[in-house]
Amino acid sequence: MSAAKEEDVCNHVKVVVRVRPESQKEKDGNFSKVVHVVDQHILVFDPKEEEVSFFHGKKLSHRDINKRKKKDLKFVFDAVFAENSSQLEVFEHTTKTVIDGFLNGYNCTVLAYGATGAGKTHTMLGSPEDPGVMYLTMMTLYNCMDQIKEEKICNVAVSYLEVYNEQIRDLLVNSGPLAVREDNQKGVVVQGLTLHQPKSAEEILQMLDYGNKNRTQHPTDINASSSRSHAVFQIYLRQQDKTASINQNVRIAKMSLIDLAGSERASVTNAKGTRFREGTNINRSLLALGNVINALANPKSKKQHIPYRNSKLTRLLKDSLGGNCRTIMIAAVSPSSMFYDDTYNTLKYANRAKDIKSSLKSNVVSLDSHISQYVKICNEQKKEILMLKEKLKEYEEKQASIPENHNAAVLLNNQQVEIQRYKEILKNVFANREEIRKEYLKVEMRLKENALKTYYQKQCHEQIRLMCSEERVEKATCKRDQRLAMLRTHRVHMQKKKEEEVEHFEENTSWLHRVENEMRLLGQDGCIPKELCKELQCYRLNLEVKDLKAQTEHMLSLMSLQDQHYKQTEKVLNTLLPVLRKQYLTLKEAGLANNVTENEFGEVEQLIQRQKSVVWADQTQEKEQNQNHELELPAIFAFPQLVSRPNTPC
Amino acid sequence: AGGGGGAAPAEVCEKFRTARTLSAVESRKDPETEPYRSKYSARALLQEVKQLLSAAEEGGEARLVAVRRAVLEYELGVNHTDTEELSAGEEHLQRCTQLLEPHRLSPDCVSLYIQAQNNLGILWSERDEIKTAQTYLESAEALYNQYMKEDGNPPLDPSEHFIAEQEQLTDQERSKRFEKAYTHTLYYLAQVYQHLEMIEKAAQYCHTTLKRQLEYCGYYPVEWALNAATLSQYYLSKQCFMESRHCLAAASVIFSQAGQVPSAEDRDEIEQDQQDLRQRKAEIARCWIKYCLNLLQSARKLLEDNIGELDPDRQLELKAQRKKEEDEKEKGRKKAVLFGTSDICDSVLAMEEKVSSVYPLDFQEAREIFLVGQNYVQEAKEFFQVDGYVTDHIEIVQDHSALFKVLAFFEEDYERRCKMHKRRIDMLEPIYADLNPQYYLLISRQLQFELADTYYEMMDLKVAIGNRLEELDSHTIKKINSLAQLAIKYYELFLDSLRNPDKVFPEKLEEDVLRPAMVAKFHIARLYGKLITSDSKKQLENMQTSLEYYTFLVDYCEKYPDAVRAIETELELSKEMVGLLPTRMERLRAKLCPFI
Repeated sequence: MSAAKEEDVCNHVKVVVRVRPESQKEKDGNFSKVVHVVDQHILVFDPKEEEVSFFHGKKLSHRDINKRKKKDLKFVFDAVFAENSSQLEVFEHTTKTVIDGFLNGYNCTVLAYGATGAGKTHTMLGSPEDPGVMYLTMMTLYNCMDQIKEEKICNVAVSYLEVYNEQIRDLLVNSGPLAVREDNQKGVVVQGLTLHQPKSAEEILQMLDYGNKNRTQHPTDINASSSRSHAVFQIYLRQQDKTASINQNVRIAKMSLIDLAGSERASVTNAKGTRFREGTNINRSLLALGNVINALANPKSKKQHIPYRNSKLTRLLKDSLGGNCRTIMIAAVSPSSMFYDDTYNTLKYANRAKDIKSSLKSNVVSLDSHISQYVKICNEQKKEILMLKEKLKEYEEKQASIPENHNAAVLLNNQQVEIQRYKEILKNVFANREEIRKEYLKVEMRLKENALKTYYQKQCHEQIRLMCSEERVEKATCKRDQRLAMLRTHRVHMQKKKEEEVEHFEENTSWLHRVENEMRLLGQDGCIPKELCKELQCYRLNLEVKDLKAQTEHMLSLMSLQDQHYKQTEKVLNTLLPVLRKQYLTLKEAGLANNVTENEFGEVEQLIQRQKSVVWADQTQEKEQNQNHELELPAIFAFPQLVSRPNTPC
Repeated sequence: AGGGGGAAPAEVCEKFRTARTLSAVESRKDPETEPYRSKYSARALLQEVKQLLSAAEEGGEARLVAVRRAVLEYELGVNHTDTEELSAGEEHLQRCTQLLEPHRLSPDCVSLYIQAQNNLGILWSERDEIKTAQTYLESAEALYNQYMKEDGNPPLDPSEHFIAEQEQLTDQERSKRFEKAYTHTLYYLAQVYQHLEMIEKAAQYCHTTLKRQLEYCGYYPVEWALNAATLSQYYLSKQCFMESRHCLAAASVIFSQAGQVPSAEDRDEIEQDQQDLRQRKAEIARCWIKYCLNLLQSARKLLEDNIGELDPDRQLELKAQRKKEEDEKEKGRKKAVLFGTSDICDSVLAMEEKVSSVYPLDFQEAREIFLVGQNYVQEAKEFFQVDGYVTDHIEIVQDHSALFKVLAFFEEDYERRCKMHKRRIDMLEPIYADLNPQYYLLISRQLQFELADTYYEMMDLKVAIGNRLEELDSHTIKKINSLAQLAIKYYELFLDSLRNPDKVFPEKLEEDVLRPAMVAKFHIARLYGKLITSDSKKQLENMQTSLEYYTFLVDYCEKYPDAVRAIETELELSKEMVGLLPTRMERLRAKLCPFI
């Protein structure tokens, strides 16, 4: 079975990066290393710390012509090969891993990517002394075929083509442009492409060599900058069981080794790239506009159609980049600052290639559209389950009349399980209920606090108005208005929250109601089983206790607020009274006291002595008005009580 | 002929012109080995001009001298950026803007200033400092707006500073060049916003760029149409159907202009071009299909109740609502996005008339949109034939099927609805049968699933029809059973596609197929439960099979708890069924053999 695990049908794109050693030219020139391989998976581009190069001990101070800030970017890949890695190492971690899949009938694709001179060709082709991935792949493949030749007949065929300027050419024979088409049985087909049957790995190498000479831009010619030619080498493997049976098992798989065009200005060619500039000669077409617009729409979504623009390569690889295909990408970079931009672009591109994985996955059967249908199914199924349950109950009852120990035990057990389940549900319901009540009371408390504070504000301001100069009053009014506005917004906010909580509570109540009804169905005679009944009661009381506790706590905090206010008032009063008396006496001594002052003072005295005074007709009104402004403190201190009924209403 | 006022000396003008030709025209012919040869020659010439100018400078009018120098700095700046010498390029461009700063709003400087800022924007974007690029480009945009508000006369083109007086450009030409520079500003901004992932803004600027290309006749019809069609797909994702339709209508209208291709020498080439044109046309048709499909599907989402049926209350509500807001809203939105000059605009509007951009609320309205979509399906299929374009062709057929599916939602009559699903089967089944899953695994799976679901839906409908009858007749029962069997068959085919070459079902499912596989298992379990038979033994067998599939789900999730997330609802129901079915089977068995 572990083998099956290995052979999972879908696999994501594996991205590896190979850093080649510095060339002589790079070593001699005023260049530094801009790629630092941290370990087998991580590399840092344009690292911050000044590394001292051990080989020639050059000072690095004059490295940065552009005085650029160090990018210091960390990249993580499936594998990173440092300068000193061997061809064999690269092979072991790349193509070798897919050869098994290839032999099992899966298509495989290996993409090599990188600027000219970054070591791409070396990695793929290599030299006779140090052969590259392609050669090693073929060697291994022939070895494998040799091992299974007893059981299977294997046929290998290869083709080699080039995509240049949106035209496809056969590299193994002289041909005009070829057309790509999809066939529903054979997949992607290049019409007129020649297939060759090499006998050995060596012969394949010869073919590669021959084909390369035919390429529009010779890949090994370093001087040829900006190669826009992609080379695609494909190996077809056909296996057939030797055992003569009627339904002969035939497996065909295709391995594509692709040398992607140089990346110097490759950002132009890939859809996501940064093509900003229009050459002065391009007047009418804003090339990149298409790219931008393409990027706006989401290509992963099947809900939109994005017209493809001229990509023969994409079409060619349609059956090789997804589904049952395994894909490896080898990005080749130079470590030298001489190729700073190329390296950066390549790494960015490779980094993005990691995402191809997700885009492939999202391609598989989408089930989004079935969601509504789903609810239907679920409803139906629930009905069915309910019906089954009912039938079972009937059955149980019948069984109950015929005492059968075994069945009864099962039933009892069943009910026990159900009860346990409902206990769990109740726990959840009440946990939720508790939470809501807690929040609700808290909001309530805040609201009350707010009301009190508003009231204090007003009172305080009233006092200032009575006492202070106009200027001060104005200032205070300003301040008060500000505070009141603040309190108001806060209140509105709280009010909204309170409404929400009330709503939540209602929801919870109807949930509880449903649960109760369901529990009633569980019992024998339309009553909730005793055990659950107790449980329910317990939860109710628990909630009530918690509620009351919270209320007490909130009340205390309100009290302390009130107390503060009271103390403040007391202090004012205690200061005022002696002052009043003193001034009154002074007035009297000076003989300035008249009837009004006498009366007023008398009134105050009466109030202080807590005597019931004569009520004047015009004063009554005033008092009543005052009361309208005043707060009903008891109302403020009262919290809404939790009503609990034996049966939660609907 | 010393500097002073008036035109620049003839020698200077000549050199300047040569430099520009070198850099714009000759450089295209440079060999790959020396890609910048002409650019370098142009640079040398510009340097010469600069020297000649500074020699002649004495006594000249300070401002005129400054502006001419700014033009040279600009050309040198662009030249350096073109040859990948960004730092030097930046210096020149900065010097240019410094020289112009005081006069930037005057007609002889504004165009140059905007172009210098455009190029600074490009330069910084090449350094990956998108934010800096953004500030330059936005300031260019602001300058354009300010100039147009305060002055608005066609300003001088930078090259005019090195042109003999009699060769000065006409106002029309000046305006054209100035607007082009500004179009470029917008176009670069679109890219900047896209890079900064300010998608909405990017879309808006793309739209404006397209609009301006049209206004100033600077476009290739095919390319423009394709861009507009693609932009329509962005609007779809934002549910802006009116904008989407406008883009598509404009795309179709502009595309029709491209019909007459200038005759090429080579016959092959003509053929190739015709082929390309046909493909582009089909691509636009496909964008239209998506438009119709999305409009219908969005309407469905608005109208459906929680079990996916049409909700008549919602329908009435939406109809009333639509009456109210229809007019004002649409007109208000429209002005901002309208493409084209009057004659194009008329054709675009006529094109728009053909299909609605408001949500269809009943079958009649839905059908009209469906028919338009279906027409485009035919058009797209004409080019994207199975033979040669397998994946494209199938995608179109899938869309066609989706069109039928969503139309069925609006249909009240169950029999007719069933027929629509049958149409889906009829188009999908033959395609599936002809497809090699080795190369088209993904599509093949999609088709299996869709076929299974369609059969399932048909069975549901037949059951619903049957429930209305007094008693199920044997014909209906047969029909229901055969539909269920077919649904099972396709779900099984899907599950089989997950097996490895040795036909073993994977022990652990890949993340991407986990949900589909589980849903398939779950549906099969249910379908076995739905099969109708009078034979109790058979029924028992079906129940047993059903139980096995439910058990698979439960066991799998127990083994791989990670999977629970993907199939919570199904798992819950499966657990219940696994709990209930055995007892029920027990009972059935007891009924079968009461004496055991």
